[in-house]
Amino acid sequence: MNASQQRARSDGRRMQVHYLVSAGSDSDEIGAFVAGLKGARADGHDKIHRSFLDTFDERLAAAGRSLEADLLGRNRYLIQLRHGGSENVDWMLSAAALPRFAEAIARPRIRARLRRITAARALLVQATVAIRIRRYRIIGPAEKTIAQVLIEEYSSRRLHRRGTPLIAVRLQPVTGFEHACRPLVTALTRAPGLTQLAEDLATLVKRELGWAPSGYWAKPVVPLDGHAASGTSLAQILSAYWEVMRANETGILADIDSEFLHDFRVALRSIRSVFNALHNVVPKSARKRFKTEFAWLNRVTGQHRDYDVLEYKLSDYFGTRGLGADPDSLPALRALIEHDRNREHQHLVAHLQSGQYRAFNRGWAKLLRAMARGRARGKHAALPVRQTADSALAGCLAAVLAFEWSQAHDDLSALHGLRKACKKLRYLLEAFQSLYDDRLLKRAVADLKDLQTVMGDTWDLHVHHELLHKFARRVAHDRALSAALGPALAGLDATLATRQEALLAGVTRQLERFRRKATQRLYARLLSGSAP
Amino acid sequence: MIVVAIYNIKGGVGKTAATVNLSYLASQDGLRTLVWDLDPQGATSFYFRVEPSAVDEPELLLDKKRSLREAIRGTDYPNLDLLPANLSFRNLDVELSDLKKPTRRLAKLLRPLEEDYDLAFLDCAPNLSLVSESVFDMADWLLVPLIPTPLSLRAYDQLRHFCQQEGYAADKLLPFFSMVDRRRQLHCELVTNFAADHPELLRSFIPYTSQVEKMGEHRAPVQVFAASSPGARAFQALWQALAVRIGIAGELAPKVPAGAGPDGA
Repeated sequence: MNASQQRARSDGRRMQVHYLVSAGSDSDEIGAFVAGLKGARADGHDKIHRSFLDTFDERLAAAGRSLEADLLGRNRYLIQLRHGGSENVDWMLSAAALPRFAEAIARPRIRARLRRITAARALLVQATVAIRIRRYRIIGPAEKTIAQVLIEEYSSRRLHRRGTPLIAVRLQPVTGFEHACRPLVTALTRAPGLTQLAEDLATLVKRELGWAPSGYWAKPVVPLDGHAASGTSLAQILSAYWEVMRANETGILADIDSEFLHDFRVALRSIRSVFNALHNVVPKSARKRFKTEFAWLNRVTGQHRDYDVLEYKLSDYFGTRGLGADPDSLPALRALIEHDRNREHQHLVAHLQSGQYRAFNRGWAKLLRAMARGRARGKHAALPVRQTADSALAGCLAAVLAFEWSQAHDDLSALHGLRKACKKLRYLLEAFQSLYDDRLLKRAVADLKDLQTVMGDTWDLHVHHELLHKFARRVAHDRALSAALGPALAGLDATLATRQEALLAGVTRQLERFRRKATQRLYARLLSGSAP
Repeated sequence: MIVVAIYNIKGGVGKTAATVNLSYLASQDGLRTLVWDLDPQGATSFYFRVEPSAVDEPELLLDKKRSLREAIRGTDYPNLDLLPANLSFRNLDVELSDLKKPTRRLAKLLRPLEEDYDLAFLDCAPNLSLVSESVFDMADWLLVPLIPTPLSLRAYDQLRHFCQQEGYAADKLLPFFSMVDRRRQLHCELVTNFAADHPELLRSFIPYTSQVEKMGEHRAPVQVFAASSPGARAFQALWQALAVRIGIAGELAPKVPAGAGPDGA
């Protein structure tokens, strides 16, 4: 049995440990009941404020986790990552402030574990509540504590308006004493005034505080009927991706984390790819206008994203397995990048708050409404969407297979072209996924992803090379900066070039692999198969 | 997960007191800590108020389908769990000797727990056996409590020699002095001379104090019932020195607040 299997088996034995106090009972009555349980001893009481944290796209919830931060006193938090619905804790730590990112966690192991789930996303407070806690220990043989029972009374202005107090009872068995706690579970389950909770207590509390799951999904799956008209189906797809763009605007403007801009741009590129590939479905008048608008949006968001990615990859470039640059010069370089990035951010904010962007959104909304109603149609709008999707995918695949690839180091225009062709294919696969066999489509995407990953790394290197050259030119005019950064940038320059050679060879290998007969057979099966 | 075994072939040198107090201090510093009581006597389990398992279960350790996780028990302290002693451990050598690569078996058992704990302390029985060699093989560090007597220091040198001979890294040995009576000239001389010849010595020593002896009465780490006593302060200093030496000082955090729960929850 491997570690995951063991952990799953252990999780499966978790007992139901959360209870809600029914209306008409209060915490004093329940406290008296708990105090009367065999082995129970009062263990004090606290008043705390608990905040529930997660990323914008609820990655912790998706991973079955709940991150809770209890404010115990001035600048004193107890932060725990709990398995949702249970009392099993992955880790806990004390901190002086709420962590905004996984990077803010001082302890390396916990930081790495949290980063695996949240990556570069910020931790946002979903809800905060005041809690009055009464603690009881349950003592077994040899004066050993076998469980804690907590009575938690939640309060907030919103809960006060609710009328009935929200009180929960939590049974926390000590590891290995779950069996000994079964009589406790029986007693609590039968207790008048207590209802066993089937759902996760944290989710229930958050809901009572007015929180609701966002339902945000960066890559929406649009359910399509293959026989439906292409025009109305395309409107559905474009609307879904446009919703993603809009959902990320607030996060971009507030500069919460870099993933808001990333998701915005992915949605934008998806729209562009689908819009351009199915251009005969779209009214001619709209094609030119929005092609220009999309290109503008892509341009005004691009430089900012380049800085975000450079910041993200900088530690790798300067790290021990990296590229020979002096790590001591990293802070000075970060400061330069931060300065330029913040300037780009201000430009981006201005663009997203501009009349031009408002006009784009108005025009786009109008077009989508008209397409959905069948009033704005290109010459292929009436064709079944499965037919136009097959044709578009076949065309994109042919473009990738026929692409004239050159590994020449000094000319990366080929790489840029191939990346674009692959992205188009990928975005189309994702946009039309509901029309195809799920298993085959996932294989097609996985194959493409391998090629895209190595191309993406290579292209990032090229972009970062250019940016670092720009910094080097600036640094040359500043004596202090030159002393701090000059040697580091020179060293980095040489090593990035070497790395790029290796990556370009990787692109060639992956492209050859992608172009094998098996890929063509896969796509043939995918496009000829019936809809799921 | 860093594995620290507390080992000495001689009994009564303070292995269990060190295990209990150092593991407690590690857990209080926010490290998820596991103690494995490998001594059939079960003294560590006694201090943590967990009864040694009365069931003969050598198959738990040797059956690939079973997991050590089933045997783990929470202590009364957050972040601190225990694998209690088991009377069947007295037969473990016999069971291990039937296996291929017997000294690797215990390490394999701990591997699935690597992500769950930052630190594991192994309280070893005072003997030299297949189980001991398994511990030498898997531990990252061997913490060796020494009492300041010539025979004890001789035993340490024998242990060093054994490790070198059998191919176990001798540089993972971390001796420290325990039950030191500073009123005795012999103790002071032995400690000073040993320190001069052994740079690997942890310079913090544990004095002979009644408070440490009273752990048996209270069945708790000395920090819990006598936090400001010389014994408690000595273990605190030893823990700090150990944390630096094993490279975990950067992981230490402020103490988990009281009342946070008995089981890390």
